[in-house]
Order: sequence, then C-alpha cells, then structure tokens
Amino acid sequence: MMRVVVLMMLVPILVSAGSECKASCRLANISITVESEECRSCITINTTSCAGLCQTQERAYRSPMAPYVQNTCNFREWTYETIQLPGCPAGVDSSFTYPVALSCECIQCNTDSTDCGALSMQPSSCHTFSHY
Amino acid sequence: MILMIKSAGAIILLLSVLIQTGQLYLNNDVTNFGCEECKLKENNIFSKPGAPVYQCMGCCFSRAYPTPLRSKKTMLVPKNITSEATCCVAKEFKRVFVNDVKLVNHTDCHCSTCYHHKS
Repeated sequence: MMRVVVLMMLVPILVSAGSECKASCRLANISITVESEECRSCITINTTSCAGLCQTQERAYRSPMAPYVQNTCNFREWTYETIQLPGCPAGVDSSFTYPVALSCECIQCNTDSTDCGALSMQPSSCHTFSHY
Repeated sequence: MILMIKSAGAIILLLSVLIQTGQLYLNNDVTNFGCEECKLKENNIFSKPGAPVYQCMGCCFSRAYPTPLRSKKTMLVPKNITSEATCCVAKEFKRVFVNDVKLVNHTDCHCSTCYHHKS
C-alpha cells in the first residue's frame, strides 16, 4: 500500500516534467488533391499527416562550436499507399504513390526525403480540371 | 489500530495527489498543452542585475504532408514529403556586448521563417 502511495506521489512530478517537454506535434487527418494534366483528372484523398507545435528558440549568443538546431513537426515513421487516377490515356502512368504518416515527431527536417520550406497557403480543392 | 491509521493516512495522501494531478490538467490550456507560446525569456547566463539579456523561446506551428503531384513535378529533386515550418525567432533585437562577448538581445519575438531546421 505504501509503495503505491509513493509511486502515485511521483505522478504529478512526472506529469509536470512531461508537460514541459511535450509538444503537440501529432498525427492529423487531411485531404489532399491529386491533379494530373496528362489524365485530365483531379481527385481528393483523405490521408494522415503531421501537424502541431514544436519548441524552438533563437539564442542570444551564437557559439560557433555548439550546433544550432530548430526542430519542426515531421513524419517519424510512414508507409506508402498507391491510388489509381481515373481517365488516364493508354501509356500514361495512372498510379500515384504517397506517404502516409504513422507517427510524428519534432525533429530536424530530413532533406533526403522531405522538401523543407516555410508555411504557405496550401490549395485544398481541385480547381483546374474536373473529375470525370 | 495502528494499521488502520496508516491505511487511512495513505488513502488521504493518495487522494490529495490525484486532486493535484487533476488540477494540473485543468489549469493548462488543453489545445497547447505543454507548449508555451513564442516569447521573450531571460538568458540567465548573460543577464546581469539591471542589464537583462533576453532571447526568444517557445512553440510555433509546423506541418508535414504528402507532396502534391503537381508540386512534385516542378521539383528539381522530387521529394515525397513536404514540410512547412515556422520557428520562434526575434522580431526585433539589439546588438550588445557583455563581458566583451557579442550578443543579440531580443526585444520582440514571433513565429517566422526557420533557417536551421534542415538536416
């Protein structure tokens, strides 16, 4: 019984410590548009991405020795799914393979797999081609 | 008798801990739980009495999503994931010297372009 009480007394300490370190970068459901000029089609698919807040700072003193890193909300683990675009003529690749986030993390943006940029207004509708 | 008193004391302790934990959750903004806004924080290493040095620190929004097909076709090196990020940086600052060390004393912060987020 006393062991349980001691363990429970540690809970607020762990929660407060965790809340200071915890960021809200997490999985998010989004809709993305897939447009193809060759197929003259545009479809909307629902998938899972990452979004949220990450802790960053700009130091008053920039040491040439200490690395200066800004962590942003990125995919940690992901898998791939493939869809078929409708209305594609013969000889045109109708498949579109895209990553689906399995977990997210505040980490450096990996330029091997990711195009790292600034926040922009993401278009969310098919505006050029109609879906046949 | 002593055992009963000990058990009662343990139960009271347990209840107070649970209430304290519950209040911790209630007092925090649920949407930004555990992530303070981007703002000025005093740099304790370089600050002196009467001459504080501040730096920007806090949380900013970022997201990563599958690169749209149209965008992928315009990329020199196509990437499957697109990341858009903002970082907590100084909006206004003053350059100061503290103990002959060149510092940047931030006076205002905002979430803006990241320059050191790529690996």
